[in-house]
Amino acid sequence: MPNKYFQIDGVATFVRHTGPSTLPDRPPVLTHGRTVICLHGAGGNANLFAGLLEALAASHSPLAFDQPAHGRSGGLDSLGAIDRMASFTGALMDKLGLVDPVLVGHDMGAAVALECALRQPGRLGGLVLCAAGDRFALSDAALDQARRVSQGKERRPFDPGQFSPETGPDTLKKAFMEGMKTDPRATYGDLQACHDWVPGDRLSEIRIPALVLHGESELDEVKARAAALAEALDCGAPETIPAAGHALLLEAPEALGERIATFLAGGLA
Amino acid sequence: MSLSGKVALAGVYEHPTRWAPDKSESLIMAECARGALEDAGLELSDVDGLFAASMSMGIMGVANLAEYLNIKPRYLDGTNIGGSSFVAHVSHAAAAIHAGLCEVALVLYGSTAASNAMAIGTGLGGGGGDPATAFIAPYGMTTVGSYALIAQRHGHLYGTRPEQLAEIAVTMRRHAGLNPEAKMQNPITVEDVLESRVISTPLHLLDCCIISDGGGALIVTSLERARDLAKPPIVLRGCGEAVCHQETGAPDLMTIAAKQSSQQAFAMAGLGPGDVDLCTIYDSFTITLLLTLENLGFCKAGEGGAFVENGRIGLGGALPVNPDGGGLSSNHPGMRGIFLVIEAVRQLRGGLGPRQVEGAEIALAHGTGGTLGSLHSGATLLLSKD
Repeated sequence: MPNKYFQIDGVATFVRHTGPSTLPDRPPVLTHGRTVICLHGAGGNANLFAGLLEALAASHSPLAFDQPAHGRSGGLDSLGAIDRMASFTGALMDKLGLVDPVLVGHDMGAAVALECALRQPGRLGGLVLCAAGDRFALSDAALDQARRVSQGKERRPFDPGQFSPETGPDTLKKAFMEGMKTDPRATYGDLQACHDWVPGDRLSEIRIPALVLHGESELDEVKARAAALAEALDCGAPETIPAAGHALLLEAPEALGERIATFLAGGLA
Repeated sequence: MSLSGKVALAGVYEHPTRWAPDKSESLIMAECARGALEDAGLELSDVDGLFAASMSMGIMGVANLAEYLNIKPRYLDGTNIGGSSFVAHVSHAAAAIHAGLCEVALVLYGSTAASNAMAIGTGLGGGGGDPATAFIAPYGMTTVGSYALIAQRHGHLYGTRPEQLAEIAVTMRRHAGLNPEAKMQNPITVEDVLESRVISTPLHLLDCCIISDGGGALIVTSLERARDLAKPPIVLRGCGEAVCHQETGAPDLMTIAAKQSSQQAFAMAGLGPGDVDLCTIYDSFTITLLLTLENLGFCKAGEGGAFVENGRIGLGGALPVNPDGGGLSSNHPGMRGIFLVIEAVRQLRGGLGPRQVEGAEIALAHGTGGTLGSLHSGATLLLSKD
């Protein structure tokens, strides 16, 4: 899968894309079907979307990028606020000349996608919001744990309970290794950004087509927030991806890809 | 004929990056070369001596680098004795310049250790494949493990406490807070260090250097020529090198290469530890800095723990060490020696704002390469204002 760097807001930004490779500084050719931009979650990176990119590549032009300080992008600290991440995403769209893209966001990435839709409503073709809700509900204990990890006082947490019981050890291992690619300090900044993001009633201002999804084994509290999100967006009930938990990108990329492809084939803006 | 007072550092450059996944090691070196030449007021075409080492350079490495830079040096030196290499390169360049073998020497380092996820301290260390290492490595000795044994030994012999080692990390972080390019700038306390995860007893996470990307460059030339260039020359007063191993004459684990290399440098310069205004010392781990201070002669063997207490090695203290924040907090892209020289030169030039050591006239830079407790090298420079 081709990848390349672009300077976005002064940050060397790593982009994975589909289609042919292009010369340095030339944007990838994303004219095949719909352009889809994948936005990773807290502490994540674009590689988490590798399976989904493959699944969508036959009919569309998906890409994913590492936010600053994540994965292989430059920078040492998280942008620290969802609106700044949305702004950065907009700058990437400008740089690559992307028109009417559909944003696929996972967890924190879904919040970034929603914020993009609120800031530039006419610029997006649609939203796919995975493992996400109308807000975050991070406990003080979870934030404190992330802070302690960033200070070297605790090991990085890894909770197999967030995966489907059907998910195999190879996928768990991959999820763990992908998490290692982002500095805990950046992850802590992400979680603070999520904690501070309170969209409230603004979500109902979003009028573009949207699809809310979560894994079958997702935590009940996340499912409840996903339902609230779907209600705010007036896009029908959240859909469920079987044999997947919170990490549905890794656990069921093909099923997820099929569902998103169906959404893309429908009447988007 | 002594090299002292004949050769100068005319240009330095530290790459500001600490994370450069989009750059290659060679590109970082090229950007550093451009920065140091601009600092000195020279052109790439002026360079006729090239000195370089890196974590990945092998046979023909420095020749490949010359090709990458599109230069035709008449003197090449790819000496690689670990992190101290670039301190030694200055001595080697001085000798070559003094002998008329080159006139303008460019010393380079670049690394993407962090973005390549290189395991440095926790990787298998213990030397470079020498015969004695063959009897150590199979038992799983790591770099941090060897340094931890040194720290344990120091504690056993002299009662050095983890709090004293932590004081070093706290001081380096305080310095890094004054360096806008440092990777870790948030202040820490002794308690923070002691509460951080144990990596290898008694060393905690915050006793260990960070891993970053980065690079640097130095321009070495004759003092005579340096006086005509853009920046005030910083004069080489003394230099020394040494290698140490328990199988090659190291009398004990507490005597490291710094002892021999610094004695040579002080003798050449006609100076002693009491003349030094500031030090830049390799700080791969807190114990590295502590033991090096003892071996450089700033305190007696076993007194390092007390020496680093009460702010003595901090800015404003009797002997400021690593005002840039060192490898513990500013940057450590695998081999850190070049930054020791760069910061010493910057301090002697002056004008560094809150991290400036006031009135600095003489600086000592000491690099350690390899692994204390096993095969390691040391290189010392004594530098002064013109």
